[in-house]
Amino acid sequence: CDPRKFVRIPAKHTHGRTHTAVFARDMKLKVISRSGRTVLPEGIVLPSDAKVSDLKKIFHEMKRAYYPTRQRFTTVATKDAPRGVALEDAKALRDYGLVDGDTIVFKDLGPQVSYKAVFFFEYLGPLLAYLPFYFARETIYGKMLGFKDAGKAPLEAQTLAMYFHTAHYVKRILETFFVHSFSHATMPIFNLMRNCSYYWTFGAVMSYFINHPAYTPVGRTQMLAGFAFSAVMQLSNLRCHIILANLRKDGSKAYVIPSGFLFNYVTCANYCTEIYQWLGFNIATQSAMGYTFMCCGAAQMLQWAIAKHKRLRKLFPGTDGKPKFRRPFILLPPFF
Amino acid sequence: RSYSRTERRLGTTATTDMARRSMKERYLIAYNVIQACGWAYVLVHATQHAWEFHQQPTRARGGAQLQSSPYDIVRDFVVTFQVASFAEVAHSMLGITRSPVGAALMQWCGRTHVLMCALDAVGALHGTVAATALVIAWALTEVVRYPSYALGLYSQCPSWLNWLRYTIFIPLYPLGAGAEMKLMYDARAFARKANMYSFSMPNAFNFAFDYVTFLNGLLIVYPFLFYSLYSYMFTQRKKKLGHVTSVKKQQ
Repeated sequence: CDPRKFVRIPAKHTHGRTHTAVFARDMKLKVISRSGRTVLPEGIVLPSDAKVSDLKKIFHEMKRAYYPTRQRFTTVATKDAPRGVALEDAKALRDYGLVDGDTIVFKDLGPQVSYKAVFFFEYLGPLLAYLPFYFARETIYGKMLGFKDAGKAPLEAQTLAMYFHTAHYVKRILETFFVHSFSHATMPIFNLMRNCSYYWTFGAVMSYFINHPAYTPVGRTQMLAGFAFSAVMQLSNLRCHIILANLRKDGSKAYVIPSGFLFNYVTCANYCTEIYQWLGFNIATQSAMGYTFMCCGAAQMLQWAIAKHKRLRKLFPGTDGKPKFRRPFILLPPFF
Repeated sequence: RSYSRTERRLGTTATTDMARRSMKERYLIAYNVIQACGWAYVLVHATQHAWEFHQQPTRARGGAQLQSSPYDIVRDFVVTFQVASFAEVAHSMLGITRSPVGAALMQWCGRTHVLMCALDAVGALHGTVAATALVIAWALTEVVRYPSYALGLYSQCPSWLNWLRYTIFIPLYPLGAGAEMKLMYDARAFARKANMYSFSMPNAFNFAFDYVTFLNGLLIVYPFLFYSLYSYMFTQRKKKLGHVTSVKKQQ
């Protein structure tokens, strides 16, 4: 019985239990995998006021292969929580009712890659993939694919499209490093492959058709109007991203209702401006693949927007001193 | 619980269980039974004619066929039941069944595309070994799959049928996938000559589609799709048949 392991808490902090001392001491937890296999035969020893992030640090020291962002811990499955309760980094272990001798479940999330890295590569791809079809058109359309007039000068619409497409992805990359604040540090590496395939393929295919020697432009007024609308939406999108980046102060994980600018009217004003930005681009360039790309993005953003709107409505019901969350539009005013 | 006379005579509660089934389950059972019958017909007729047809001397096959190819004989059934199997995609979309929509849709699109575009549309391929192999591989798989679904709804799927379902895919999937790839490979020459399903620029929507390029792309991607589907089936097999190569050590 090592007295150093025992820290006496003064009576006034014992929440009414004045006759029994409350001690803080180390606790030992058992760690199993989801299939029930023991992960750490000797268990893991932590101070009883340890946070989940401390748990992950010590686990990493015991199992070097699993860096903290790769670890996921849950409590053991119960009737109310058939897959256990996920342990969040900022919380203390005892907030989950974990005491000495309890069991926690470990899951390896697989190799992780940082959000910033994923964003950088998935945006660099289309930016670069677009350019050869514009700058090396004679080689690609002429020599490689055998189209006539491959060497003719690019049309005004094609030049503007190239600038807009490039500017869009430059903006995205700059936002990744200077604007966005990410609530998750990493994502599974499989997502990197999947996201890159999506962006790179669409970037290249859109460019192929827009820079094609047989490309048919729309009327000049329509083209300029489309690009102008797209530019306004791009700048609005940037402003939305800045608003979102400033929502949470000092690393707090609490949800805050986005407000100001378009967020007063649309829950996901950032997605809204993004979709309308591509709409402007497509009105200006009119290509089936451009429209397809916009629709695929919109479909994914629709799913995210619905989930976000539901979450904010649940978190801010207007009772218990919380504000009521209500917005006339979820994603695309004036339709939805 | 007291058992009815019928139950005691048959020694099973299956018949009264059926009477109590919800309409959704009755519909699903009917669907699976109808599909099973359709593919059984295909299997019987295709195999009956396959041997005689492919035994014909190549000389005679070069010109007019001595008889209809197995594919031609069962063509209407195969097309009807394969296209109708879109119902399975609808079932998962509507939540009537629990399978993932994306997987069901991809499977249906892949098969229907090969059937309608690469095979049915190209008359010269109807008499090939690949066409017959395709039809027989599909029919064999379905004739085991649909009855196992139907009986599974009663929880009455016999273990031998379950074993069959999770074992015959081992030779049949590669056979079917190989036949599909061969048909797509051979269809390209005909597609190029007839300019099938293709259009070029200039046009208002600045889009072009070349079916031969599409087929080439598919042929490259197919082995990867096949590999992921095949290995998924093996993990399902391990789960459902409980085959473990090594005994797990007691903890």
